[in-house]
Amino acid sequence: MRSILVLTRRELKSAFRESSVVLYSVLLPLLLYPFLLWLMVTAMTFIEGQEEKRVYRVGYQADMERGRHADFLSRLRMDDRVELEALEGELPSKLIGHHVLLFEKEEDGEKILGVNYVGDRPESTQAHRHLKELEREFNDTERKKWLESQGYMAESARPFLLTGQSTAASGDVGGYLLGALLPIGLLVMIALGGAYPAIDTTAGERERGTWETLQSCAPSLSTILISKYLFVSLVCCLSGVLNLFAMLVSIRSIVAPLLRENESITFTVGPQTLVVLLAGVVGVSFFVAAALMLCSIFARTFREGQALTTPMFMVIALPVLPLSDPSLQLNTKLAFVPLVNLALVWRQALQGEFHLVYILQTLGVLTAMVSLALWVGSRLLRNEALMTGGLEMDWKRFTGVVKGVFRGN
Amino acid sequence: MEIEETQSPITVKELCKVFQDEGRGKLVAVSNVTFDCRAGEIFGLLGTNGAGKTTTLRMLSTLLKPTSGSARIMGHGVDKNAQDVRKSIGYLSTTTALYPRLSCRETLDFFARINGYPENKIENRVNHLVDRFGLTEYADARIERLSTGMKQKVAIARTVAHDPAVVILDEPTNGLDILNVLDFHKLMQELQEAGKTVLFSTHTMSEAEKLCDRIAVIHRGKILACGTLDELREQSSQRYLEDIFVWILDQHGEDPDAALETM
Repeated sequence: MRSILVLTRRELKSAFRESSVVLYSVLLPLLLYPFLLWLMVTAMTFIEGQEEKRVYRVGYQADMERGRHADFLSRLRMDDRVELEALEGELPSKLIGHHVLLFEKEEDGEKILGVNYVGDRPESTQAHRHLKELEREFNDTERKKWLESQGYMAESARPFLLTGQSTAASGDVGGYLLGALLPIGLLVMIALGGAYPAIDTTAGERERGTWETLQSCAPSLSTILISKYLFVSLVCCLSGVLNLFAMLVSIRSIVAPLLRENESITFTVGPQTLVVLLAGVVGVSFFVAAALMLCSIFARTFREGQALTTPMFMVIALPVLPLSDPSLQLNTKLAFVPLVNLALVWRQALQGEFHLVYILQTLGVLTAMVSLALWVGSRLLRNEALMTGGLEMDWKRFTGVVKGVFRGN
Repeated sequence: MEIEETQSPITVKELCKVFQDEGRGKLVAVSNVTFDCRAGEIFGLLGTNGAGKTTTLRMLSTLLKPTSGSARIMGHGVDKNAQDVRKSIGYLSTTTALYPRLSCRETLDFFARINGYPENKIENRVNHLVDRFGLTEYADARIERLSTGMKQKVAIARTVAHDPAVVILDEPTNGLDILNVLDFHKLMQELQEAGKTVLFSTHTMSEAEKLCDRIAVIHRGKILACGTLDELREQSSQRYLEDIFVWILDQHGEDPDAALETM
């Protein structure tokens, strides 16, 4: 036990003096959400600001000033965001220098207003949308004036009015948002946080030559590997907890500018939810640490380690697909699918749903996966070539080692 | 080559190592190696590159399992009591093998602690080693900032940090300048005076000649000769170790020129 503590402490001390570990295991999990969400809000605000400021250049047939739509043109002239230009003669077939072109045409003996815009140009599409809004407003005003001139109250001409109101409590909306964002981010951050330490403590040790030195020290090989495993799991846990903390603390202030008037969202995470989240973080950290170390143990250099652990991130990101369906609920079958089950348990917990059977089933599956990884790891320890030098990236040798795991040699 | 199994800190008997490689087939790295090292003795394994020195030392350090034969260190079998063996030895591999992000002091502290040196004496031991190896100025500097020579000094210091009874060194003077080599020779004498058993491999004839009480010449995984320098001189009627080495290879039907080219 003393040796495990000494070894783990040494690993942690070395790791947190390495800028990459501090970046990927501490700073990124802590700052990613605030940064990403800040970036998103800034981008949206910027785009909205740009749209609000944009002035649309509208070309129209000069004849229209004397036609049926002269009043509408006058209304357009009063709009700050519209710059009108009368065009003599035939309208150009292509839009050059204008966002949209207005023209009158005859349909069924009636003169109607047409607008040409370019569907694949955002400014032109926005200009078209803006004109539609002005047209609706103009027609409403004209209709109201006419009704009033006929002695009717404008409101009485409308048979009924449909208004919508969300009955979801502000906390439910918060839980829904967290449930959509948090699980996958948390899984990826845990893996990202553990990747560098896992590679460094296996392939990195080999590359430096310290692997051999360490193996000739008093502690047994299993003690050394337990310490390394504990170290990587702890770093994964740390990344997970920091990420969770960052998300819970920052989301309220970041989402606030996106809310409309009279809209409110509360992000309350109760003690029960927190317990489920933290239990999941711990469980998945042990699983991810074991999986990353199993991949990188075959590598002789840090670079090889990176190549071997990269596919793990695709496995970790697997729950993205089921999580993209908000209606998907955890069931007995899904509770057996590693990582997907945990992501769904987290989502349900954030939405205030707790199914003890599924939670236990999920933790059971995680424990089984960790046990399987440790069993494979203990079998790999028996391979001398692997333990002393790693393997050349040779498919034949690799399959030989894998066969050895199942044969028990 | 008589072996006094009960008295010698290191006894090696008919040790063999065969590597099984799916790509390259069987490779006999060490074949029937037998020797012993007595207490307070400096024993040199002299051989060309690829002679089997490192594989032999790796088996004695429990990094590799012998295919057959036996080896005991301080009475513990390297195969069955690997952990007890590791507690008794200090092993220095061919690479400097240090943690770049630890300081000299932290490195020595770690290796003393992990090898079971008494907790209450660690601080004094570390201070002593820092002083002995002239590391005072760099004691708190990270290893990654040290020169190659200083790193090698720290590596040797960490090998003896827990004051082991047996010290196994694989080509320890590789990369050292002449002053550091001389300091290393002094350390060897100090270890000998302290009653430690030192087993080290080298391909430098002058070093073996100067330091070793006994020398084993190893070639193609086999010990071709073993004895004191005087015994080897007597057997070969040669004065210098290099000539003795050539004579031994010649006696065993090996091509000395080809062997010397690899040294």
